[in-house]
Amino acid sequence: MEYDVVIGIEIHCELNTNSKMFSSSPTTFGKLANSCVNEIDLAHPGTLPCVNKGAVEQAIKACTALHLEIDPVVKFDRKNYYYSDLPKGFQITQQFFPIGKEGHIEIETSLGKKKIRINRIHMEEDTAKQFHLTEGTLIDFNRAGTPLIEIVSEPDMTNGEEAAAYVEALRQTLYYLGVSDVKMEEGSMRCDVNISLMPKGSTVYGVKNEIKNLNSISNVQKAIDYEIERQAKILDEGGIIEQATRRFDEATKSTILMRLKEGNVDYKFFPEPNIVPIRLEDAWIKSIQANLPELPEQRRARYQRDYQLSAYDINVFLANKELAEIYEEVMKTCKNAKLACNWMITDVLAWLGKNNVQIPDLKMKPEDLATMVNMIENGDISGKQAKEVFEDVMLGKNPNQIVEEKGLKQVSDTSMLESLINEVLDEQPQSIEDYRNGKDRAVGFLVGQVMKKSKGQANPAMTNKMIVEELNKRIK
Amino acid sequence: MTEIKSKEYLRHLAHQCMFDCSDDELDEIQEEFMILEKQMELLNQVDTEGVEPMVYPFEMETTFLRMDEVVNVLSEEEALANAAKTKNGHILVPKVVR
Repeated sequence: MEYDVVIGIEIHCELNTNSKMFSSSPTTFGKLANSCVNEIDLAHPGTLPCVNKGAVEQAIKACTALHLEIDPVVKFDRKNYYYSDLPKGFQITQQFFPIGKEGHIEIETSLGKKKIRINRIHMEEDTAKQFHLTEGTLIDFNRAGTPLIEIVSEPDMTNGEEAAAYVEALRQTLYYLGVSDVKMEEGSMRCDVNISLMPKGSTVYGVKNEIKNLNSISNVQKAIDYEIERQAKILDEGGIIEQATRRFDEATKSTILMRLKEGNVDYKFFPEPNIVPIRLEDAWIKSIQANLPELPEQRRARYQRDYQLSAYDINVFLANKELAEIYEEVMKTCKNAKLACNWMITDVLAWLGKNNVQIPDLKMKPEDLATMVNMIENGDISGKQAKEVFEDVMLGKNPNQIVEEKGLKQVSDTSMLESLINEVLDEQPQSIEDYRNGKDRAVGFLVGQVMKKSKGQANPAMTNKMIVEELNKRIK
Repeated sequence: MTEIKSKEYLRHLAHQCMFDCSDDELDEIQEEFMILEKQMELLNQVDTEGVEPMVYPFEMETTFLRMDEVVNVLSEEEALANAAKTKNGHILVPKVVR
């Protein structure tokens, strides 16, 4: 039987702030356990939450870039549940009045472009991190109270590819905004997928399953592909889908049952009495909105306009913002955008991988790479020589100096080339004879001889052209 | 609804909150609950027909937001001071998942 697949995604994203959502202790990752907390995070009696302006600002940025309508009155609610990762016994969230509602983001898949609607974005606090050992559970409260936004999509996606494209589009947008680190592998961006199947053409949604623990975008797609197959098989065999929470298991590339949902959990939501409604000043919201950083789609348009790069090249740069920023520096003094782009997305990336260097640790100066590309463009060095120069440029050396030291300068001086060519032709009468008899290979051999005499410094294209001219003269 | 006044229920509640009460303490709590219940009955007599529930004593908005600065951090020792058991700088509790 054929099915329509319905997928909705909830994304939790840690915000880039100095301090926590409701307390002035620091937000960090990977610090000594329980070293970044204060009385509010630990819910000591008598402590009161105080809303972080920086977190609200980041949430406004996210809402604006994703076209959500912003509620100028910020209100919080309590979500009550009892668990050891939550010292207060409730999480402060925005259940009733999210900061943003009704937005969208555009995605692109093999089937073309599609708009995915976003239902809401709300602010909340993260929980403590737990480590489950055999002798008990260890709790680190450093993460407790870290500002989060939760982004809830409408059930607009129909396959794994679309879901992966949606998560990637969001990830890129939030990264460009500087709203979050969006590192899925470190948990600063977490993704829960809701998925259900219904008979093709039906309008009644099937029973959904939620998949957790998706720590990469490729796993989002793999988990959904697996889950579609799993649910379809059960339905084909006349079975029923039970509402459940599952997790993706990397080793077996399958989803594993965590718990069945026995009805909806009652979180007894009610307005947080310790935070009175906060009215955001219109001028403040507008100034944040007016100063948004460049978004991926804007950058795409600019690269098309200014550099005339291909869609493929632009996608590589969009996915690697740091690399793109170096490229822009290079392009300040570089003449050939496409050539510089090729060096960036093939040679530079390959070099980084081979040498296991991260971009922030890179010693290469963009203006040096630009100089090198200009040398190639001007015919001062050959492509082959450039490879040699490149290795040293990546280590922070100046290309003029490298060329000088290694004696790599390509000879494009016509009178000098002419004398070398004549010397070679005088030594190789057989080659002239071969050329007369239509053996074009002779030219290649002669170019090689000139290169040898010039110790590899002759401009090959120029040499080739001049040899052909000289040969034609001599066989007349 | 479970009988709030029953001592067994109070004992169960206390246990769920991770503490235990002596019989004397339970007697006292039971007595206080009965008083509270009577007070609630009194409140229930107030006619609230058409009255919106309120959350804050003063229904006033504020514009205050805290600057995003690190001000107050506990030392690791202070953070763990109230924990019954710790291990490697973490708070150790009975295993919460099976």
